[in-house]
Amino acid sequence: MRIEERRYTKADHFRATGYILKTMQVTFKGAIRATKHRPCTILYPWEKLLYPDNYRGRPGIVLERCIGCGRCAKECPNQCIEMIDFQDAEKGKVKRPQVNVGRCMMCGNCAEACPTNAMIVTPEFELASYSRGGLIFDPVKLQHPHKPGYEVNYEFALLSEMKSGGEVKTYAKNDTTVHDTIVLDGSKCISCSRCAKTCPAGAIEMADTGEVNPKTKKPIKQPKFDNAKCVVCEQCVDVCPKSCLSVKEVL
Amino acid sequence: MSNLYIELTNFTEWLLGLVASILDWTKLGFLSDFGEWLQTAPVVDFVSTLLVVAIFLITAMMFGLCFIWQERKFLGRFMDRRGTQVGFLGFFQNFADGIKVILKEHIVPKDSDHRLFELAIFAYLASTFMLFGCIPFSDNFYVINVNLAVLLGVAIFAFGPFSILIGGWSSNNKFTLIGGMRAAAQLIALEIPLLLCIVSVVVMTGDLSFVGIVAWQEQNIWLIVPLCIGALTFFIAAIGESERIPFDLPEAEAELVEGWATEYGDVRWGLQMASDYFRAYILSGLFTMLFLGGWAGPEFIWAEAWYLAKTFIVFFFFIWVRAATVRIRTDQILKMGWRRLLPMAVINLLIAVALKVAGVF
Amino acid sequence: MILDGTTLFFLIFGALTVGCAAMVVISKEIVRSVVWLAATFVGVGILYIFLNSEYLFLIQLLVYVGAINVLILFGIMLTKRRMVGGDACEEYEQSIVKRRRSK
Repeated sequence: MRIEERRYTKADHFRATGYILKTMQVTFKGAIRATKHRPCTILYPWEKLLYPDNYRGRPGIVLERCIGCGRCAKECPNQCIEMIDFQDAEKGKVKRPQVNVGRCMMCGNCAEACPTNAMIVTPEFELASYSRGGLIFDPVKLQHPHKPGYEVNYEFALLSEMKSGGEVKTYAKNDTTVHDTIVLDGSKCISCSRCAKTCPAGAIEMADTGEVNPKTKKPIKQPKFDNAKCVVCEQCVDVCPKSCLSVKEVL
Repeated sequence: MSNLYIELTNFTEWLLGLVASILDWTKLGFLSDFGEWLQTAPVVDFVSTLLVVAIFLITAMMFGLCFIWQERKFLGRFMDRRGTQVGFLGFFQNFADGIKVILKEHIVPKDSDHRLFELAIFAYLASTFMLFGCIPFSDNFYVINVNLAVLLGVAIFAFGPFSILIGGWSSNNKFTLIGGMRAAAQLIALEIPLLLCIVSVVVMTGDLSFVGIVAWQEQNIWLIVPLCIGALTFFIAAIGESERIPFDLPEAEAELVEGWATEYGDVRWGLQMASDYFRAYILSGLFTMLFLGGWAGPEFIWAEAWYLAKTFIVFFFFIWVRAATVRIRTDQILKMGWRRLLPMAVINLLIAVALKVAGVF
Repeated sequence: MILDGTTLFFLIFGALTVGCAAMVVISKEIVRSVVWLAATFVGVGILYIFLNSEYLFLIQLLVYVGAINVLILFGIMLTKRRMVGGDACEEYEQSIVKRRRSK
């Protein structure tokens, strides 16, 4: 039936009245229920909702675990994490993440990306501050007492295994056997050893290649990667002056 | 309770006597004469009337505030939430809101008609506050007790649409103009059924004063029983007259920012907002007077308490309707006013006349 | 002539009523005319009180101020301004512009 063809009949008016009575009945029942038990709202400042165990509030950090790899800063979708200089008591001058919580969207990707589970998600969500500066959490302020549920762990499967149709295994986060690897283009390398100095995990070692430099008569050294230690932070790739390092992804 | 006027006349006589004796003590001739003049009957009447009006207005406004509080809390429960939280059961939220609007700046739009802009809101608020005086709490607690009290109240109500339309026009804003037009159309459409229902009550009781109407109902029967159609019509028309949901077209927040009061700021807006509730209070008071027997009731509590309890119950139904229904369209409201409520009111009037002619009451 | 209170008030309100009625004709803005008309109706109603007919006063308020005035306002607002001879505000603005130019 087309819309223009509809006409109000006498019964329609009575139906409308019945509709009003129906809504009145429904709301009255609701009011009785809300008075007898309690409304579905909560008195926020005094009462708080129970948050689930895997609730992702502001990011926190466990400083003892952090190696300063900067993967959190690379992963952050809002780019609110910055690696700043930090004076550590034992390790001296190091880089540690500083989070601008005002820009944070609480996705928890930083904790997901962290290879050492130093970055954690905390259940804190009351972050109001009187100034914008108060929302920038430096590494010390970012610290949070650690509890077992706070770090983000996940499992993943490889696309290639799915595609080949064989058995699909699931791997835990930071499984050293399957993570990406750094590949060296030996012909470009000038043996500056900057990568080895930069590596936060100590996974690069300058090893002899067996060749000797014809001019200086010294043995040529090239980086060698220890995949068990590597966290794929790509700092070596960034720092390489001749761009001879590249990442080979595991697919 | 004894009569408010008598009590306050005695008090005023004592007070002015005190003032006169103080003036006499100064031994200055003209001051003694002034003191003697203070004790004459017209001055005493005037001062005692002022006192009565002040006391009554403050009492009525406090109960008006109670109505806002009741609405907020009950509507909260209807909507499955808690309502206001400031102070004792959220009662002081109204005062907080009042202080807030008092502290606001008074802004007049640049291209508005300044004088009419100011005049309209004052006319609206003045008519609301005058209406307070028309509704007595009991046969002892009142401001005016004249033979034409019902008609007086209705006549003051008639100022509403005019001032609303002027206010909406003078703000020089399309939303206010549309809101004003809607308000006037709706109030005119619903006022006639309202008046006819009042007429049916007057036919039954043969009296135009509230005291007479209530006394008649006390002797015979509450008028909601014989005039149930009229009571329903009056109830619906009263909701429309107080511009409440589902008839809040003049102030439809979703369509017109704040209706005809969009351009009003500061305490004028606050009082306009409050006066919506005050008018709802007055109309539920009228309903109580006309159909529920006013302050009539068993004598174990005061008559005023009976009146207020009944009014609160009527207002509860106002809130209930507000919680349950949605806003209706402009053409629907006019159609409803002219085609449904008006015939219902006329039928009700016929019933009243028939009952009177048949000599049932 | 004895000028007692009632006569005095009658004269004051009568003069006010006549003044308001004159303002209905004088004022340029038609909505303002309606407001003055409302004041005139109220004034006439007050004159009824002096004639000891309060009932007529209330009916005057109810019918004239409450209904007739609103009807007139409706009539004004549903009429196109062009039909009654241009926009008063526009003319006023144009006259100001002309005056500025002549200076």
